[in-house]
Amino acid sequence: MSARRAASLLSASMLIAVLQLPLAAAAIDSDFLGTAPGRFNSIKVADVDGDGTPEIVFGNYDGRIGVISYGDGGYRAEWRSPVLEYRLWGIDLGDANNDGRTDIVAGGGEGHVYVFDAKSHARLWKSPDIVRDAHGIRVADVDSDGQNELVVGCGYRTDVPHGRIYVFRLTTSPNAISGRNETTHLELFRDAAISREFDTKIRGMAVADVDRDGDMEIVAGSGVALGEKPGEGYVRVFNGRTGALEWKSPDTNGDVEGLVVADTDGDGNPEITGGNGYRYFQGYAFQYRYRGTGGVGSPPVYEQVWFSDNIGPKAYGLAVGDIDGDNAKEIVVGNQPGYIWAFDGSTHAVKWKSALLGSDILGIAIADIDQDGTVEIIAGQGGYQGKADFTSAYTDPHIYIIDGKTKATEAVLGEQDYLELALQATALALFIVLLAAVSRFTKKWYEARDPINPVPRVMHKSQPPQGLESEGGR
Amino acid sequence: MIPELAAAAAVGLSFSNAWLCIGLSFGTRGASASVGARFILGRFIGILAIGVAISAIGAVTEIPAIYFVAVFGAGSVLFGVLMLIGIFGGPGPFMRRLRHALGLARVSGVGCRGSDNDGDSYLSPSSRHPAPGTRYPRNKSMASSSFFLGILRGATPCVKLMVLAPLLIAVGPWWALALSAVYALASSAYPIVGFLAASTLANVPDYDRVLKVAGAFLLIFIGFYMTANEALAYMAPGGD
Repeated sequence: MSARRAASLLSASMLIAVLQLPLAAAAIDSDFLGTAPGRFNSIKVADVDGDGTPEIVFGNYDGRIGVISYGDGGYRAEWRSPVLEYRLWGIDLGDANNDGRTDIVAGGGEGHVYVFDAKSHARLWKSPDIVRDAHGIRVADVDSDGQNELVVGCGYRTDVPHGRIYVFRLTTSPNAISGRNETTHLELFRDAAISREFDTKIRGMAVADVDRDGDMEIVAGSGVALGEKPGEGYVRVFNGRTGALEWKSPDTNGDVEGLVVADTDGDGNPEITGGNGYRYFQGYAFQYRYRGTGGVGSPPVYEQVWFSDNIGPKAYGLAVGDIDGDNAKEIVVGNQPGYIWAFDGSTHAVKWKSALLGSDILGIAIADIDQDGTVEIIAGQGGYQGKADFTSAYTDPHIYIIDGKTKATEAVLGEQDYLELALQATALALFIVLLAAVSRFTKKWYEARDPINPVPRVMHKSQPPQGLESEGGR
Repeated sequence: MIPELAAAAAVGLSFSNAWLCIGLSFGTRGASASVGARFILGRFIGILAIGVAISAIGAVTEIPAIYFVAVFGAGSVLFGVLMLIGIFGGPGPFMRRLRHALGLARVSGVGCRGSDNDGDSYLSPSSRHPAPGTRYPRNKSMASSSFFLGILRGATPCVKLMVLAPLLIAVGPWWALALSAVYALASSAYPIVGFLAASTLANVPDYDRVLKVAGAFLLIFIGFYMTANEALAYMAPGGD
């Protein structure tokens, strides 16, 4: 088959393949989603603006908050913040400044936390400089005083090789001069164990009365390892009233970057559910539960309830809820290869594993986003390429909306990957064919130019060069 | 498994650092077509090997990538240097050409006079420059070296392979083999581009020597570049 015929066939087949692809629903494109939306569970769903319908709120690498709402049978972009700071992967929703209104709280890679009014989108507060990668964010009443506090876990890399947790109390009051409301902060527990530097990548964060002693606890997951070495990570439980360390888990062999406290087996006792992983090592989901004595860790007051099989690297995307309406909770985990796993909250059996959805599904939320009476799994997907860290993705960013009962994909927000892939393959194939043609042409051109001495072939070893000055093709 | 295979193809086709493979292939093709082809074949086999190894071991970073890259970088530089000083590509046995390149050859009259395995005597081309377009017998040591250089290249973790690694770990060794094959095939498009680009020049004998020298320098540059680049990354470790 000639090169020309091969090129024609290849082009035609590629064109047919491209035309047969479904057109992308471009209502929300990859520009709006940004790079790696919802990473480290920075994707939440709640009715933040009080309009009666829930919104999807997410952060992204580019440093923006995005808000997506559902209405009239489709999803639409509702708001996108200006660029705040890159790696904006700490997100929580709640009344952070105790003004009676829901806020969007976002933490970024440069070590700042921002509070926006969820309805007006006015910026209410920006934190002072804190340790970078403020990604472990929770708004909750940690000391049971009736006022919410803002808990922030931080830490990332070698430039700041340690993490820290900050607990801020935000209050809003009129400015004495301007008369306008302003939000001020007070840092709590400054001398307590919770404020000491430890580990890094404190991204798993939950607030709950996990030992049922009447006090809330701050539960934090962290990672230790940096660079090319095995993973190391822990779960710590701090007293929410004093900031004292109550428990430190054994090494989970990976960064604990997904963390939820919920009663997954319905026995009335909450479990700490975590998802871990480190770079390209294995990833696991696991559970600890308060036991009092005879457990693991330091002191040994929590038992290890469950440790899953290896489900693939970076099992960071994590949420707990009744996704299929069977009145039992499921543990839903997304990981770096690009799968979503659903485990039974009681038996821990695998109930479902998704098809490959694209790399880096590291943000999971569960909610009835379209209010059809069925819970959906909302998954943020898409990687990035960080400095000195191979974490790029091979697909554009997406947010998947998956029916929790049927597991059918209801919507894919973002753009189609295969169209781009087909075009790229076509272009590359055509370029190769073109190069081959040029190569062939140059050979023929040279031979036509000098028909007596065509392009020389390899000489036999037994034929030494004859007259070095004149040997060769010309 | 269609999405997984498509993902492997997508990673293979992505351009990230593809210029390295284009350059390496261009460089080896500068020596000869068979040397270039063996580099591409070796690279394919190297990718299959590392893909299965990643999946079987369950992680790729047990051995830091810097060691792989350093070995490959040294190999690439050595290959380029040997090309440059005429060890590869010239007639006669390897040791004689090596002695000549190092200035240890016995000289009689003008240039180095040597003999090939058949006992025929002729002047070494490196002692007196041959006319443009002179082609020398295919050198087996060079071809096999190119093949091993290709294996080293394929088995050296690169950004694209790192992107694919989580999937290889997740699917198990057998599927990892299939995915690696698809990835290797798709990513071979770039070495083929380098090969064809060099072939275009090689078809004009006037540029044959220029091509060899340029190819050798390219191999040396890429060897140093990759080693330096990886060393910098190693000194500033990350860990998302």
